[in-house]
Amino acid sequence: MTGGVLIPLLQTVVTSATPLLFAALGELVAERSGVLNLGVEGMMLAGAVFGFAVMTATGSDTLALLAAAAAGTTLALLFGVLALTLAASQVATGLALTIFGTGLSTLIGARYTGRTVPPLPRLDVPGLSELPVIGPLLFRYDAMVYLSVASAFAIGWFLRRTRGGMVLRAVGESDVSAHSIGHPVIRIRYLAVLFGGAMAGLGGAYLSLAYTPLWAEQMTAGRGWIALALVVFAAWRPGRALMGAYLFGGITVLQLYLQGSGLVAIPTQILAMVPYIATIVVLTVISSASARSRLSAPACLGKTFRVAT
Amino acid sequence: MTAIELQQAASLPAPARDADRFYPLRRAAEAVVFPLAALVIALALFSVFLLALGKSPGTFFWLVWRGAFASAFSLQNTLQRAAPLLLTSLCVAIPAQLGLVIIGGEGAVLMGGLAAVVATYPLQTAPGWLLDGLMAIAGCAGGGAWIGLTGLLRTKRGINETIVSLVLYYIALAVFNHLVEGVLRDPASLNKPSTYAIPPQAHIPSLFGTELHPGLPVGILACIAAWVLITRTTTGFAARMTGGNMRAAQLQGLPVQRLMIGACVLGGACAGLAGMIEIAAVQDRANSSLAAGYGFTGILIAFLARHNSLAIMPMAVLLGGVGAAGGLLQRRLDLPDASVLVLQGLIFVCILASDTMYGRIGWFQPARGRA
Repeated sequence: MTGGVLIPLLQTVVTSATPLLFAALGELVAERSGVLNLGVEGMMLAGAVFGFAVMTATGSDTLALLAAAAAGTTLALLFGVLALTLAASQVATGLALTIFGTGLSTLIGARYTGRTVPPLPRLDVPGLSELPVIGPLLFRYDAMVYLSVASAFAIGWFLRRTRGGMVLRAVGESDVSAHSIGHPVIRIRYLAVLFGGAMAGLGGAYLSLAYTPLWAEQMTAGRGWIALALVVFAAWRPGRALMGAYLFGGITVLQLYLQGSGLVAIPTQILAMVPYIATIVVLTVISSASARSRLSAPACLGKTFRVAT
Repeated sequence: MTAIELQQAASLPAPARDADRFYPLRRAAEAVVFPLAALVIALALFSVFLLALGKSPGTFFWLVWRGAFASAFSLQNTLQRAAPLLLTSLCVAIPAQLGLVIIGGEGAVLMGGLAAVVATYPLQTAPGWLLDGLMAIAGCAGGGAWIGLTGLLRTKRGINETIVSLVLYYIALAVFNHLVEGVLRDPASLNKPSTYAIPPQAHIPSLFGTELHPGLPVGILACIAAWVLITRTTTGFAARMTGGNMRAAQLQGLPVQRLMIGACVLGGACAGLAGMIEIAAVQDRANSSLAAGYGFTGILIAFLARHNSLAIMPMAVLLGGVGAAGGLLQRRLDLPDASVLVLQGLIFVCILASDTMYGRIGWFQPARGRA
């Protein structure tokens, strides 16, 4: 394989990993606060379609991305009202959100099917972008790619080093204790879930505004579920989510490349399984007794919290 | 008063029992009124939605009625769609008794269907009834093993069963596609890769000159059997106790792990059987038509039925009907298939919201509580 093929291929890995990274980071924060939101796919689709619609109407990248984040946040708010305020089952609410989001996006997107928009502009760094090899690999992406990577580090720092991050983790590990020392459990979970919605919306919008700048029905094609698996794969660590997203993205691209190139040594369906098998293996490994205390899920993940009355 | 009602009344504090003889009735009313109210609210919200799109809600509901229930043809179509849904809903509802949320039933449908097809290959000339029996066993085994694996990972390694079952679905889909497009592919299937067909004598004929296949009675029997198992046997009681409080069940010496794995295997076997019936009575071969989302609609139905195996039956008919009307809606109202998903999502959301209202409305509570 020559550099002429390799560099565009690696660039595609980065762009295909970006939506996964956004969605996974958002879900990671929500899960760290103890909320399992299975509606990622629905929120991504809502972000994708609203981002695309606003882009078509106004032509403004910024407005489109804001609309996408707002769409994701709105669905997350619906989730919050049901699962946090009304204390409905988180799993069921998340599934409802995915069904609703899928239907809504298809319905709204019907008039946009097949239309394209100009992709998000590349953010060239003068000098650096022209460097051989390093330039195209590191400095020729749109702003969202950098934002996603920066978010991974920012979230890692927030969770580990700030007071707010520690409170959020405390709520996820033991809601009752956090409540008893006066932290507003429900409010913190709301904030985490809304953040997750905004990130999923941005991830979806990246698909419809940059990765393939067009709208197609159900264009996320299961990426929301991959993002959920990715959070588990990453053992709820933002740094690992970053690596995992690029790994999963790489496998997706490799699969498309092998399909297109005709040099199919590995059947593509087997390759399609790899991220999922990797997730199950990681889950099985991290659940061993010795690793469990260090790597396992937030203790209150998916549990409903009710203030005792 | 029946024995059950007496029992329920007896569990109330004495003053409430004396003051309100109608409490059992109120409780029963609560269980009917809430889901119905949720349904009505969801339909109202959906109407607003349709109006916003410039479509007439009246026409929409008229078309759903026409396409799903009004004629013998549409009713058959509805029931035919409901048949696999009955079985895939059980794949959610049975493990749910133990507090397990399994959402990978679609994977069990695929594995069950594939196993059923493969089971016929070595015995091309065997009599039909033998092949059907083998296919049913293979289907149950394939689906049961697939969800059983989820149960195993849950009990032995403590891994979240919801995520594992979903991830296993994607693996099932990849395995299915790999085999259907690879070693099992019939070279004659050009545009739509399919496996070799099952022998013709293994095809299950329709019932009594209708379009209905035996999947419907099988599904109904399975729902009734599940209801008996869950509510009328000690195993079912142990399962519900585990779902209520796992620690307490463990301390009582109940075989919690075995119950969990058993429930997963049983649920998976139901979904696998759904796949087998789709193959034997409808498709005759395994291809992408088997991945029609029966497993996912089953999740919705089980939650709408609040994991009650008997309530699954009307819900499956309802959602089967909405699905059956999809084509008509598309032609007449120019609505994409996915508009049905919006309706399903709204119903789901409203039912979840109504779930949280139980016990909060005074009229349904015992008289003393209302004073």
